[in-house]
Amino acid sequence: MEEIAVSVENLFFQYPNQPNDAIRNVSFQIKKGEWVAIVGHNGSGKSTIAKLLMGLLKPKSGIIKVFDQLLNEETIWSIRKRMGIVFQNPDNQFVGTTVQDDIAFGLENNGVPREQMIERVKSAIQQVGMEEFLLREPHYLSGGQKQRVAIAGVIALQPDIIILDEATSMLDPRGRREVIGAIEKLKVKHHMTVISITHDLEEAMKADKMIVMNRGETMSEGTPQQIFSLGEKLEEIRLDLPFVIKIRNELKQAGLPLQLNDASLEGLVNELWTLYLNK
Amino acid sequence: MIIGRYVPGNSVIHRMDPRAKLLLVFFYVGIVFLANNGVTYAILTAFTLLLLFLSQVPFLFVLKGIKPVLWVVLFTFLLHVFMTKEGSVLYQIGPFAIYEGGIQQGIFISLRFLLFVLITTLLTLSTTPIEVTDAIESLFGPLKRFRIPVHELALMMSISLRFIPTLMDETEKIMKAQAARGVDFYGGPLGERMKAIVSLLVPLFIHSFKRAEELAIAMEARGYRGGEGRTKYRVLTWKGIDTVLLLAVAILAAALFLLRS
Amino acid sequence: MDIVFEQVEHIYQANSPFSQRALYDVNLSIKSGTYVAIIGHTGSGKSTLLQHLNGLLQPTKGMVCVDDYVIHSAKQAKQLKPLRQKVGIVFQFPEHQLFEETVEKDICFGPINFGVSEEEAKRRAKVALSLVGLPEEVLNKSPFDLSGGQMRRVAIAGILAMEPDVIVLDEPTAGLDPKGRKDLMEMFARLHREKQLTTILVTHSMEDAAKYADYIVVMHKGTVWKTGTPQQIFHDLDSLLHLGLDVPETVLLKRRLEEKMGQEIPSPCLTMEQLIAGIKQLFAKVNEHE
Repeated sequence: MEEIAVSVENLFFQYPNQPNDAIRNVSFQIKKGEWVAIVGHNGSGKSTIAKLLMGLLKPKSGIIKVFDQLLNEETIWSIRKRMGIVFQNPDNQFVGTTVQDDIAFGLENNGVPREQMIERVKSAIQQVGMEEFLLREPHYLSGGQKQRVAIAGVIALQPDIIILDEATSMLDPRGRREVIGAIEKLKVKHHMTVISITHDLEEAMKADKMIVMNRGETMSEGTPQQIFSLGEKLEEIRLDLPFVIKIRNELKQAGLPLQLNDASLEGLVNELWTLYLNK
Repeated sequence: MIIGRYVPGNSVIHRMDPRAKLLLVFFYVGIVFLANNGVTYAILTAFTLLLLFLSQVPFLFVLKGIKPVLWVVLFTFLLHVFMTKEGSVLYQIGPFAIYEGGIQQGIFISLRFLLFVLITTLLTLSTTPIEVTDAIESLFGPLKRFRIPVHELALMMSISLRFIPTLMDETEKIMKAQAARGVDFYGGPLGERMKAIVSLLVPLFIHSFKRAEELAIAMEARGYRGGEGRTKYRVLTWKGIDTVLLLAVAILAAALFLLRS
Repeated sequence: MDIVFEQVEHIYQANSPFSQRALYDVNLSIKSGTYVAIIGHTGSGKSTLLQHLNGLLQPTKGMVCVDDYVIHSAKQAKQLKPLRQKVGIVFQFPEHQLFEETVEKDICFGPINFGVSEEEAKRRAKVALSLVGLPEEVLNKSPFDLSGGQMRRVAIAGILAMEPDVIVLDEPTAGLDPKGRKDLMEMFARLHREKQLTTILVTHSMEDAAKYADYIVVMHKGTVWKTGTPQQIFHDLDSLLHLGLDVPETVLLKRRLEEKMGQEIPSPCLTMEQLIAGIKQLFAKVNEHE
């Protein structure tokens, strides 16, 4: 049986001074090594979930388990060691005065001996491809580079799970590609569990599983293919469909007998070509 | 102005333990006051110039950098020249008389001030702010026993240093955005200027609070819970040269003590 | 309000060891009433360029003409104030500029700075608020009690209330969710259509540039690399890709299909509709042959 990395049961959460629950009765499970995208419009509660998982917010009721360990006051620090998070704003999570100091920050907090720290900082920076920036100060870095440093800071701690809390939403396309590329590599290399919280459905397409949030509740859960077949329902909750899926839908309406639900450009080109040849 | 600015380098002075540098400046400031005649001032000046030479920062660069201070030095000199009435009269210009003691006093006091500026400039030119912070944390470490939050204060300092450029960028951005809405930051009547400043400060504060909050959350997520049980990535290492230079200061102090009148 | 750039150069901190050339040899002309998109990498000089449009920055060489205003390096900042009313700039994350206690006061701030009476400013605030699609009740709320997307709209309303002839948008949709992004872009398109507002959009979204702009300016390493209609710009796909820029997905799909099938799709395929029509044509042709 596959190991469950994160399990959430009947979770409720309310921000102070707010009339309604920000999270209502949310349950889901994430398997070890899975890439799960939690998608939803701004204000749907998806970022709140990330903070609840890290124990940065306390649920009103419900259960969160990380590798079968119940998240509570006693386990919070040991659970945080197994989970790392990259936040939205590249500037507001950069603590160190230089790249290497920032990557070391989490290691220092966990009391890792210095010789080990040096090793781990070095290997972490290599994994995000920024070796030559080790001594650089943050304000000489682009947004994408700062986020890669944040990722390095997380992997230096060798966690099992990495959470991306809208980590690409403030970046330009190049920065976005850099960050997603870095994560894809990590996933392959370390079999890491990835939870990406995003409203970018092109990013979500890379996931094994998607969880769609709407107004604090889970609306749907499934593979990207299953989710994208919801079509207009996604647009109703302020989301969008990936480009290729939109084209597929339009072409089907125009009478082309497209069968597959492949969201990749190449997939669509190949299928159209086959149709074209068989005409 | 170069005071407070770091000039990257790899000289002996640059490579010194920042703690040694801080201590050196601290003792130096103490013994500057021992000098009171030509010989002692000459020794003190020679020592300072030696340190400056060792730092490999071009002398002219330093001189240019402390130009504004030179005016203050000149002013101090003139003040003493005209105010001190000791020794024989050298010149008589109308009601003003310049005394020999005045010239001497003027030179000594302004030289003392100049040396003082040179040595602190040397410290900041050759030491990054973060090194200074580390040195302070280490030197004041024993105060932890008296429940003085040395680690927290040092962390605050280093985070402030980290965010200075970020805040400068942000200030510029908000100023531009408000200027595009017709704000004139560089002129206009007092009332309008007040409003201009409010339009800059309010967004800056609100944003800084938000930043601070997000940073605190990020730090917590990365396992920060105070100084207890933390290891350090950056370490300070006391080397032979540090001891040598501090001994040199001790010898200097002894020399000044013996040779002063 | 025609805009002309002639041989514009901008060096930050000129004559210092930190000097940095951000723009050089920029020649550009933007006709009144057009919708222009400026594309290029971060650091290609886009933001420096747009700050010249209302004199926030002055060229270190060359000149910028906006209507009757001529900006060159010697021009004093004082004389540029009337120009800033005519050219409204919506900076990236404009919600960071909000500061007043109420939405109404914040929207009125710009107009009043430019000498509009309080009464008139309040009238404009109402109009601007409805233009950005917010209800009138919001006027008396604190801008800081609104959601992120609403705050952005208020900030945009603050620029619209200045009643500029030219509006400059620097990544206006950054950080918004797909629906918020689409709504905002549609709103600017409507303003452009209805008020003949000259619109200058700085964007990373090639889809938006292709869909909304009459004209595209490609910036690269501090100078104008190419200008043209979307059709012209995206026709030369390879050189855009060579610069490392994205191209609209519709255009990319068209290209891939053409390569695979060895057939040309005559439409430029700048929008979804054009692409669908193009593919349908392709298949229709086959049927004719039979």
